This record gives sequence, structure tokens and C-alpha cells, in this order.
Amino acid sequence: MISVEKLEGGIARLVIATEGSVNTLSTATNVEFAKIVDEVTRDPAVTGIIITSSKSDFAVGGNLDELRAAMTPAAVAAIIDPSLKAFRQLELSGKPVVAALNGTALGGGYEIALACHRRIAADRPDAQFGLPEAGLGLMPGAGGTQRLPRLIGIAAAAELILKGKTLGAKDALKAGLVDELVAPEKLTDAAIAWIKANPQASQPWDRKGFVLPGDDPQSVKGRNWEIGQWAKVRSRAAGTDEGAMAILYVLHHGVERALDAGIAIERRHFIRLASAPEAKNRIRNTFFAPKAARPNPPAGAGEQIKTVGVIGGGMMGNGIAFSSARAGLDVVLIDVTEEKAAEAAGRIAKIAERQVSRGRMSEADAKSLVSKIECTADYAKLAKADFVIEAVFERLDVKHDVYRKAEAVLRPDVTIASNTSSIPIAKLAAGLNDPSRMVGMHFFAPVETMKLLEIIVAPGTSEKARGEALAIAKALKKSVIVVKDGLGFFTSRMVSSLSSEAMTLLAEGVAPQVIDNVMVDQGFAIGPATLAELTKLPLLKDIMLSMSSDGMPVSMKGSRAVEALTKLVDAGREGKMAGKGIYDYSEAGPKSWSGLAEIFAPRAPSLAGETVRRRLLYTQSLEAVRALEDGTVDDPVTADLAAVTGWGYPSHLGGPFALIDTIGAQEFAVRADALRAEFGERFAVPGKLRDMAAKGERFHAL
Amino acid sequence: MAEAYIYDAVRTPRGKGRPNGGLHTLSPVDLSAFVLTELDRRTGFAKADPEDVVFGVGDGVNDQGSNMARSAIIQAGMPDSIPGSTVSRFCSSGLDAINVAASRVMSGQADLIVAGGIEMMSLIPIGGTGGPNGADAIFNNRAHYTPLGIAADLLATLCGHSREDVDAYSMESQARAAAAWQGKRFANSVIPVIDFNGETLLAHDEYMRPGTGMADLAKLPAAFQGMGEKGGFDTIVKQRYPEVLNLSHVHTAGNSSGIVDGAAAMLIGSLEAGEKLGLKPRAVIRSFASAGMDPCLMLAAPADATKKALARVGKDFADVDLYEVNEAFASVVLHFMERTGVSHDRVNVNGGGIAMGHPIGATGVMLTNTLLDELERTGAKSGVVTLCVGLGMGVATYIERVEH
Repeated sequence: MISVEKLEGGIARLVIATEGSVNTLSTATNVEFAKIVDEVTRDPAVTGIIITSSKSDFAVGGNLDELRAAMTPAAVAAIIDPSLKAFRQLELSGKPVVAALNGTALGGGYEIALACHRRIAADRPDAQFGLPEAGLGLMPGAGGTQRLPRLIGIAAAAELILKGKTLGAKDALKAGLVDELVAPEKLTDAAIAWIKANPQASQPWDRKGFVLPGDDPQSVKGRNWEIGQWAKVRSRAAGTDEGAMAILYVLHHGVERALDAGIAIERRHFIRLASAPEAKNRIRNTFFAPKAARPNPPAGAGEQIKTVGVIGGGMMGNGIAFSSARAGLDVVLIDVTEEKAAEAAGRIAKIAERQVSRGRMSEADAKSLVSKIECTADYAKLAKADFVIEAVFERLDVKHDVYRKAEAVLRPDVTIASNTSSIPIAKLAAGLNDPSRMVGMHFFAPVETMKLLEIIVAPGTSEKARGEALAIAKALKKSVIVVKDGLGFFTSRMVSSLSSEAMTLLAEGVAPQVIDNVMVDQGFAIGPATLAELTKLPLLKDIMLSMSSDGMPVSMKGSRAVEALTKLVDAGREGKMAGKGIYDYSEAGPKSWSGLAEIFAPRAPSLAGETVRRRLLYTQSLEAVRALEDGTVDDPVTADLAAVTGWGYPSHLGGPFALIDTIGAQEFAVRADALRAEFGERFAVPGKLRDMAAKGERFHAL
Repeated sequence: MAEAYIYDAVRTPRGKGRPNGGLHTLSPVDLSAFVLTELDRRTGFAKADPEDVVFGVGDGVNDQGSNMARSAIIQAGMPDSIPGSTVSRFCSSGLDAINVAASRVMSGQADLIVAGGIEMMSLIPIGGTGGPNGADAIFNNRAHYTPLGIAADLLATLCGHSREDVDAYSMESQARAAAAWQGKRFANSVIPVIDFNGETLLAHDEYMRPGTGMADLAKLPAAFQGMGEKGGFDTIVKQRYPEVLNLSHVHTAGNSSGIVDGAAAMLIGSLEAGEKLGLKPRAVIRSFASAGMDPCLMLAAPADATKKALARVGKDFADVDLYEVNEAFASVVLHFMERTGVSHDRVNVNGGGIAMGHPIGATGVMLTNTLLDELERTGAKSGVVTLCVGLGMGVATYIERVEH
């Protein structure tokens, strides 16, 4: 709601107060704002206008629920058009208009301020100003890309808009985003004073002889800047950052024309971006999926947990111990010998040091955190644990041995979670007297920074164990995916499908850089051949062997991964750490390994890059649908987020399920059929997908 | 169809494209007027009612903008009745001017016409006209924009040309250019530029470094490594060519074409038009063609353009005696020879742009002029001029010497 207050001397104050804790600008608000602006600017009795808010913030931007539901260009236009008209009306009204920025003004909120003749901000340490839309693969859509560069120059505006960077009050003043800072209680007085001193107001860009600050876009410097920025974005994000490209485009083409034309160009590109799947995917993965991935544990679950027992002092155990202590829990960490336990303590202290040196933790906090962790070889000390997480070597007999020792000292009601990445929980639980106390908690390395946690619920897992795992996940602030038990669960099954296909391509004689480059081009941080190098080839061989055993997923049918990895390992190739794997490594970076052509005859004619890419992406999507079909996962939203947070699936592509939505189930099925005909059964289209294709259904409604 | 004959051609020496270059103190209109005046001195075309003067200009902007051909006619004091126009296709602008002129004669829409070209790179940098590359990030995505030098390094990487390969080619270019100058093979066509006080500004191609050896070339730093590594282009080309693991930056200032100033003009006409002027035709323009390719790799289309041009007259690469393949970068010529099977002893026999420089809009005319002289000197029959072109193109022209 926007109210109009009449102040002294004919000054009208517009006060924004939308529903919710902060001001977000929905279509209804925009329409109301436009109507009020129309009234006050036409009212001859009004001598000046102040725009402010009655909340702590000024306005934090557009309504994302509404924006992501806008599936067509026309629907997006309906959201922004009222504001575009109102902003222009405000700045051309002749009446002085002041944005009295009582607090944070971001995105559409800051764009209101840009359409005012004067921006006066309350000097508050918590206030932020700017245009953060780029973070969602979007761009400002209410004049921000046009008015800001006309205030501070194209290069300076791009630095903020391209990065979605927001500034605190003092920096905003320095950068020219606001004109004046005053004490919060003086805000209205300052606004009134400016109006009185400037009874006639106009924007610099509407005055004759306006000169753009900074470099002219048509100068050699301006053009070189544009090319350089393009190359920067393109090399960082390949072709995946349409938002940044559109921002660069409108900064050049919009700013070299008059403002109205510039706004029309900005609007055209904003509408295109906001109605495209890439933005929907990013918004879903950034705002909506994380909420779904933080399920509340059942009431009271895990309340009694004060001490967590961690068995295994390797990298995973250390990270779990550190993260648990950071969450305020006491930790007992068990390793096989006192010497190993002491080494683990040393490594945990190192993790804490790193957090301090990165400014994420004070030295005092780090010290008290480390003191909450007791590292020992004495299983008797595990007796006080209220919840146990096992993180020992991935071998069934080793784990079963540990469980016998743990069960001997633990209270019978204490849940035992295994941080296994692929061994079925039912098999592990078989080594316990009480299999119902076991749940899977698959953490990702490094545990202290990776958000994702995969919780695996076996058929025999008790409700109590499940609930407590959720409670620990919540305490550790993890993004959760809850899955059904099975070989590789969800995430390892998915990553295996990718690795397997990559190694199969290698066995077929496709060059490793092609396998890497076609995926990096889609926005993956590293390609799957390099991922294999980092995993270490002998370990990946073991994983591929285990994924080819009982309960083998369809994605492994016809896989030549074991063959490829056996040949590599037999040739003494181990991976990046060893300096020799699929590539040769030196300080200058990876080089082709000359022996590769001898063990894998180069494919002739070479496979098209697009085919390589499809095989690597589609095998994941197909396996994801099978996992949904067999009940391993039940929610494409959290499953897609797990892909993004777990194995670096590009957010703009959405995830393995969203990829099918983007291509369209029907077209996807046609393409998968073609892959099946050429490359085998692992590209078989699951019945569920065939069904969806026939009905034209999607995995994500939005 | 009428036939288009070449009657004569002149060019300026190539001046360094720097503030201390021999031609830098002149303006583009001066240089253009100079070659028109010299061509007129030898042929008398200006009083013979030429249909048009067509100039190739790479970057027609600022002092080189507007209409360089018509401006030069006025500057040269030639009859007001001679019109002028420009054509532009980056590096092949000059050759396109020849092809346009020939087309008009061949189609019967002109009897006598001048083709020329001009570029003062000391004044107007490459890309000085702007265009979508400097304005439009979305276009750059589609074009998969690469700077020229990065495209050259990409071509070398894909073809497997080593630094030694490109340097060896360049050393030979220097040696051939030096020998050509020494043997006065350009004497008939290069006219010393003299100002209105009678002072000589430039009499020789001044960019050349005769006696350049492999050791000298090896010392030069890779010219495009910085923009490749820091500017991000190494990563960008891999997106288009995923088979590339590491881009090898083999091109340097020593094995890339020189940045120079220069102008050239050529008289083209029908047999009757030449007879009226009392001129003997020196060569006939048989065919020409242009070709396009991936703009990212950009520089590999001369072979395609040549193939098309030769096919028009039922010929193949082996049927042609001599080739002028513009030495934009050493890899471009190496690739041309690999693709076509034409051996180095028939290609750029008098050196090329690596040794003498590549004044963008003028080069096509200069190369045709060089080929014409060499055909006459050796008694060879036929030749091709071809250039690689920005945004992924190639242009080629096939000529045959007229025997008298």
C-alpha cells in the first residue's frame, strides 16, 4: 500500500508499505504507485514530492514469486510497464522529487530513487544501495541500466550492475548512487529543504547539452572497453550468462540514445531475460529450492543431542567434527590409535585457523570451538555420545567392525549415521544388532563449506533416526536432500552416470579436452575428465566397479568406464596429484599425454562436440528421471538443487530435471531415442518421461 | 560478355604506420590523390571520361572517411565529371575495388574505370570505424569474436604450426622482399612520394628488415599471449574449438603483417577503351570470388575463395603459375599451401606483408600490381591474388597475362 501525506507548503509525501516484513514491489504496488504519481504530478497544489517508506527498508526490489510466474513476454511487461511510465512522469513533472531513503534500496527500489531528482539517504550502517539483479541472471528492468550510467558513467555503472554489487551508505555517496547522507531523524527535513531550494527540477539527461560522464561509447576507448568486458564475461561464463551480455548491450545501445529510447531497449531485453528458462532456473535454485531443502525435523527430534560422536579422523570426519562443534555441539572423535587421533586434532585446528584467516571466525571462537572436540582412540569415551556419525574407510567389513565396537558402548537409543557415499544403508545396518538405529548422512567435502547433505533412509530406518538426522542437518545449516536407500543413493548415482559416460567417451577415442571443454562451455566449473583426475583414477575405477555391481543403474549399461580406467591405471596413470593421469601435468598446466592415443585409438571421424555434450548431460537427466520413478527421490526441486550444490551443475541450466523442462519432454525424448539408437540402452527413455512427453508435462511447474 | 583488362597500376612505397613513418605527415586524401595523379600521368585516363573511381578503404572514418575516391579526384584537380565511390571489406577492400571495377566492365556498364585503395594505419587504427564488435555483446556471442592475432594463433594451433614453422616462413618473406627490391622488380610500379616543395618523403618500402635471421625472429615475444591469457580469449576460443587444450601463441610482430601507410591505383577497361588511350592491355581479369567461414577461426578462407574463382573458368590450383596470398600472418599462408598443395616456390615469390607491410585497403591493389609485374618479368601466364578477411571471409581474383 502507498499512502499520500500532505506536508507543509504543498509537499506530498508518498509512503510505501507493502505486505510483509520488507517492501517488495509487486504488480499491484507498481499499478498503485503509477496511479498516485499520476495524481500528485497533475495536482497544481503539490509543490514537491517526497518518496519514502514506513518500514526499516526503503524497498528491496521486485516480487520474485510474481516474476518467476511470468512465463511470457507479455506477462513480464505487465509487471514493469506501470513503473516505467510512472518514473518518467515523475522526472518530467517539473516538481522537485526527492527519494528519502530511510533504509536499504535495492533493485526496483533503488530504481525508484534513480527516477527522483535527488537521493537523500539516512546514514545507517545497515543500509545497502544498488542493482543486484545480475546475481539472478537478470538485469535491472525499471530504468536502472539507463539512469545509473547517465549519473556516474558507463564503466562505473557496469562495475556495479554486472556484478550485482550493492554499496553501504558511505560508499554509495562516494560512488554517486546517493547525493547526500543525513542522520535518520533529519531525513524529512533535508528532503523538504532541498525541495524548497529547488522549486523547479529536472534530470540532467533531460536538459539541453547533457554530457555523459566517463567515456563515450562510440570512442575508441569506449569500444575497447565494451570488447574487453565482453571477453571477460565470455571467458568466465562461456555463453551461459545471457544477463551480463544483455547488460553490456543495453549499456552501449541504450546510453548512446536519448533516455526514452534507452528505456525501450532495456525493457526489451529485460522482458526477454525474465521470461526465459535460465532466469526461472536461477530464481528457483537461489530463492525457492533452498527453502524446500531445509525441512523442519519432527517436533522435538534430536533435542536431547548435546554430544556427537564421530568415528574416523580422516578428511570427512574432521570436517564433520568441526562443523558439529561450530553448531554448538560437543564432539568425541574416535580414530584407531591415539597417534592418529592426535593427528586428526591437529588437522581440525588447521580448519579452524583457515576460518580465522578468512575472517569467518574470531580467534577466540575458534579456540573455544576446538576445545569442544575430544580426539581419542578410546571407544569407552564414545559412551557419552547422543548421536554418532561414522566416517571410516568405504569398506563394508571395516564399517561393520566399527559398528560392533560402537554398539558395545553406546546407549541403545543412540542413532548411528554413516557418512558413506555409496554403500547401501541396509547392507551397513545388517552389521548392527539394531538395524533400525542406522541412517545415512552423506556429506560432501570439504564438509565445513559444502552446503549439501544427502540423508538416506533405508526401509528399516526408524522414524527417530530419520528425525534426528534432520535435526543435525538443521543444526549444521545444511541444504538437505532426503533419498531412498540404494546403490549410490541419488548423488553418487548421478555423478557416476556423468563420470561413466566421460570415461566411455574416452574409451571410444574422444579427446579428453573435448570432454572437458564442452561441459565447461555449459557452465560446469570443471569438466568430467578433469573431475576424474581429481578423484584419482584408481579410486574412480573402484567406484565404477561398485556401481556396476548388484542393483546397477541403467546409466551403467554398456559403460566402458571400467575398461578405460583399468587401461589408464595399468599404464601407471593415476591423476592430477601424481602429475600424470589422462593429461600430463606441469607448472604450465595440463598437456596432452602422448600415450593416450595408444591405449584409446582416436575416434575417426571425431564425434561432434554437441553429441559429446548431449551424452554427458542427457545421461544425468535420464538417470534422474529413473531415480524419481523408482522413488529414490521424490522432489525434482530439491534434487535439482542437490545437483547445483553437490556437483556443480550450472544453476542457469537448473539441474537434470529442469534441463528436460527447458528442452521440452517431447523433444528431449526424441533426442534421447536418437542417442539410444547410436550409443546403447543407457539412453533408454524411462516410462515416466515417455508419459510426460505425451501429456506435455513438466517437472517444475515454475 | 566484355573482357576487363588491366592497363597499368602504380603504388606508393609503404611507410611505417607510426608517428615517424615516412608518409604519416600526409593525409589519406593526399595519398589517394597522389596515386591517381601518377596513374593519370602514365595513362591519361582522367581526360578519357572514366566511368568511376572505386577505392577500397578498410576503415573509412575520420580523415579517411566520407568518400575517399571522389575526394581524391577533387584534391588531384581532375575533371569534376569523374565520380568516385568506396568499397569496404576489411583486408580485401582493394581487391574488391578491382573486382567491382572488372564486373562493371564485364557487364558492359563501364568502359574505363579506376580501382584503387588507401589506408593510413598510422592515423586510423584497425577497427577504427567501430561496428558491432565494439558495441554489441550479444553479436559478439554469435560471432564468437576473436581478435585477429588470436584467430591466427588458433589457426596455427589447429594446423600444428610451430613457432619455428612460422618464423622460417617469415625469414623467407624478408629474404624474398629484399631480393626483389635489390633486383628492382618493383621499379616500374612504386613511385616515390614527393611533396609540393619537391622534398621526397618516401622512395622505398621502409618497414622491411633485410637480413632478418631465425635468431632475430626467435627473440620477439608472442604478440597475442597477453590478450589470450589475461584478456580471456584463450578460454573463449576453446568454447568454439573444444579440441584445443592449449592455444599456442606463435605469432609475433616478426611473423605478422606490418602496420603501414600506403595507396595504390589501377586502370581497368575494355579493349576499345584502351585503344582510345593508346594503351596495350597487360593482363585480363578472368574471374573472382568471395567465400565465408566461421568468424572465430576467421582467416582460413583464401583457399575456398580461390577454388571458387578458379572453378568459374574450369581451372584448378595446379593450373595457376603464381600466387599472391596476403601475408596477414605466417600461418595464413602456410595453411593455404597445405590446403591447396601449391608449393612455396609459386607463392609470394617477392615477399609480402610480413616483410613490407599490409596497408589494409590498398593491399589488394598492391598485390595485383606485384603479380602483374612478376608475370611480365618471368613470362608466366597466370596468377591468383587472394586475401583472408575479418569476420571470416576470403576473396580471390584470377588474372592472365596478355601476350603481345
